Amino acid sequence: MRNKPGQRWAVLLTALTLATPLVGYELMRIGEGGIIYWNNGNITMSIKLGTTPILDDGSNFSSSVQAAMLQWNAQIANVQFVGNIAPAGPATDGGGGNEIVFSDTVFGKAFGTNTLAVATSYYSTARRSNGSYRRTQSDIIFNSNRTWNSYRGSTRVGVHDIRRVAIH
Amino acid sequence: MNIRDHFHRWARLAAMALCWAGPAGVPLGATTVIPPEFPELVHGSDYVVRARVKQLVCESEMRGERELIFTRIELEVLDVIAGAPPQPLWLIMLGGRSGDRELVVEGVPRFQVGDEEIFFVQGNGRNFYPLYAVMYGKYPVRRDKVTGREYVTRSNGVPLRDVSEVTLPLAAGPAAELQRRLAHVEDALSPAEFSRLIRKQRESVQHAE
Repeated sequence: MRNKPGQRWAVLLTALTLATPLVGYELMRIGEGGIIYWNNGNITMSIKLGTTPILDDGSNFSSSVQAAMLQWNAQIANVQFVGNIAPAGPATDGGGGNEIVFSDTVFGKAFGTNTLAVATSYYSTARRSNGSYRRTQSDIIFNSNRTWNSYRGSTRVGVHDIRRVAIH
Repeated sequence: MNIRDHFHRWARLAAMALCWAGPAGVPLGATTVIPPEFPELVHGSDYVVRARVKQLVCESEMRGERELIFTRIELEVLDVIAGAPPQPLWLIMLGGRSGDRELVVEGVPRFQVGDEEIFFVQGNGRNFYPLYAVMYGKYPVRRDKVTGREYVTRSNGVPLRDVSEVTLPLAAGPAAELQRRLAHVEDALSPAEFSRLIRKQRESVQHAE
């Protein structure tokens, strides 16, 4: 059966729309249009989410996020995330390290309604020769006011799967 | 059924599929937000204004060795749609430029001088971002280049045709670009109509009380 033009558009739209969360990111651009990305190589992230309790899929918060990083690494080439599990704790003030933490604030500011997690990045405003900008530090803060777990299968109302959010 | 009907039908299906992907919300960068329903957006906001961005001022403060950079956004209020905003109105958000570095909160919409938008303000100064549900609280006003008619878009630039679309996941990247290209701006809500629906929603609870 021959597809109608509208159906072809619809299939394309559906594919692109559904592809977005699978890819899970887009290139970040700043006001001048330059792309921000890391220097090639390994990006070490310090995962400070704790190793207890054991969650529904048998992981813990830190190992679940570490598994999310491996999923990311399978999709990217020039950089690779290295997730080091560290003792649970808050984000350190400065030092340039990349950290993943639980907190009830975003560096002292409230998350606001409906926000589950926030990622912040610093980048250098000095352009590379190709017009891009270098990301220098990133942190991910999960809202500790929310209920978290790590589980496979259907999503649960009011219980957020940390791996799914981390993959986003 | 014509092409537009097909598009609308499938666009809704695609959006619903994204909703089913999880209540964690849809990624825009890596900041994850649960999309609000329209009534929640209206009633959860401290105030709603149609305003133009007048100026942006970046300032930083040290927190230990970490430099936190904030942007203060001065708005010229064109219409108070709900609530009672202070005058003058300055919003403050985490992120901005200081010297040779910039702090960005990934996935949050930016403000640009001259932009005219409808803002659902909540927790200004208290929250890291001053709008309700972050990217779901910002609705740029655009003008049709052909007809001159004003219309409202979502924060990703896709025209808003109905308030029920407020809660749909916000596509990013190529999906958003395709939605923008395929959308018919003549179907989008005008700022006046959107404002009327906001006021009506706000009043519905006031009357119930």
